[in-house]
Amino acid sequence: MFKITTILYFFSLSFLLFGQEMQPITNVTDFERELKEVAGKIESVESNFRQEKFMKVFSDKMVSTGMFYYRKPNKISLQYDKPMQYAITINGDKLQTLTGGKKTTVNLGSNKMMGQMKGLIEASMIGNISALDKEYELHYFQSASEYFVRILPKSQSVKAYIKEIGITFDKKTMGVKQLRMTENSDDYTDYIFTNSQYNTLQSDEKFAIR
Amino acid sequence: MRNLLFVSVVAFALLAASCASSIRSGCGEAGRVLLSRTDIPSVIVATDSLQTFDMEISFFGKHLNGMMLIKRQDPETVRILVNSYFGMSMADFEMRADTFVVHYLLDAMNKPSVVNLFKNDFKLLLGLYLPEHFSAQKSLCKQLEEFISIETLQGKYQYRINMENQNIVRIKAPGVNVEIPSHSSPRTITLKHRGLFSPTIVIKEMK
Repeated sequence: MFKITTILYFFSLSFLLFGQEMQPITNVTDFERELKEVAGKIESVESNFRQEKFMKVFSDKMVSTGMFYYRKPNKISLQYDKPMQYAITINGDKLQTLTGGKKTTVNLGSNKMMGQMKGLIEASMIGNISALDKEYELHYFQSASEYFVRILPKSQSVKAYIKEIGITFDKKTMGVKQLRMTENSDDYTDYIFTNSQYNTLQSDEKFAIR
Repeated sequence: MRNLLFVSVVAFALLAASCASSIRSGCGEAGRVLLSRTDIPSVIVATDSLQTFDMEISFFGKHLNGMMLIKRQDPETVRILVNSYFGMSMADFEMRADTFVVHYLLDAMNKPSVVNLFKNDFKLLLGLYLPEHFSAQKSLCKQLEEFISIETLQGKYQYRINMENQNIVRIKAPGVNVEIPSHSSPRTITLKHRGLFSPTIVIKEMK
């Protein structure tokens, strides 16, 4: 009886974890090829995003919203409008934060771990997981309408900040619908992307670091 | 030439310091009074509801911003979390009147001097360091404010309190000056740590 209960419990957990209908992808090569093809065609992305940070200790979540911009190569900007105006921009090897008119610029090139983090975030937000090197372990799942990729960092320095990343792709467009970044403390942050527009950005204006 | 430059810088610094208004300016003769911890209002009152603040730590022209979250977990315990706006955890502290637990702190900040700085700042803001009852010097000041000075084992704590709304306007505590302008919107708390290599922390209330 105990065994049956344990098995049922285990299955119910898996059920919840994978959105009730996720199954492992059997033909990973085809999936990776398709994803690489789609990611290869993406020159830029702009979309609305909603960020939900869940904190276990407060059993509560903090919600932020804003615009997400990406342009090839290596340019990402998250421009928050709520709960306050804030921007974080990565342009090449530089990261800049801007709040209340104050800018802080950090050079990522000199820090291997920050470089790895940058690569991970960049690959996750546009779905270019083929850009990830052997420092990560990848697991693939699918449902009728979505693909789900679970990324586990192998490097201890990255693991100290991120336990795993889960990316949900829309099966029709292969666009990233949602990103979940789980920290070691089991707190996680969801980034939900909506109204995504591809290849519409014509300049680097959104990513200017001065 | 170098000496002249050094002397000029020191002289300017001394002049600037002497011109800055003292926390006692405009206050009358102080008299000794017996007070309780509850007589000194807290700068931040932790409640059962989650309160959010913008927090900016400035150090040598660099600014680190995050969202500070405060909640009272039980009558004795206050939990303080700091997250980056991007969502990553930066700090997780648990405070009681006699204990300060670091559940998490970014590696780059996890140094005894930084932990001490946070501990002292939060104790000051939450009013957790004062004994139940104590003796103090108290005087009335201009603009309907009062001045209270308390000697503790850790040093002297001086408060300037608005008597109309019972809000603290300024604090001069060991190693740090706190300013909370009465009419700032959103309410802004500035902690200026004294010393050449000390950061300034600005905390702003968020809705």
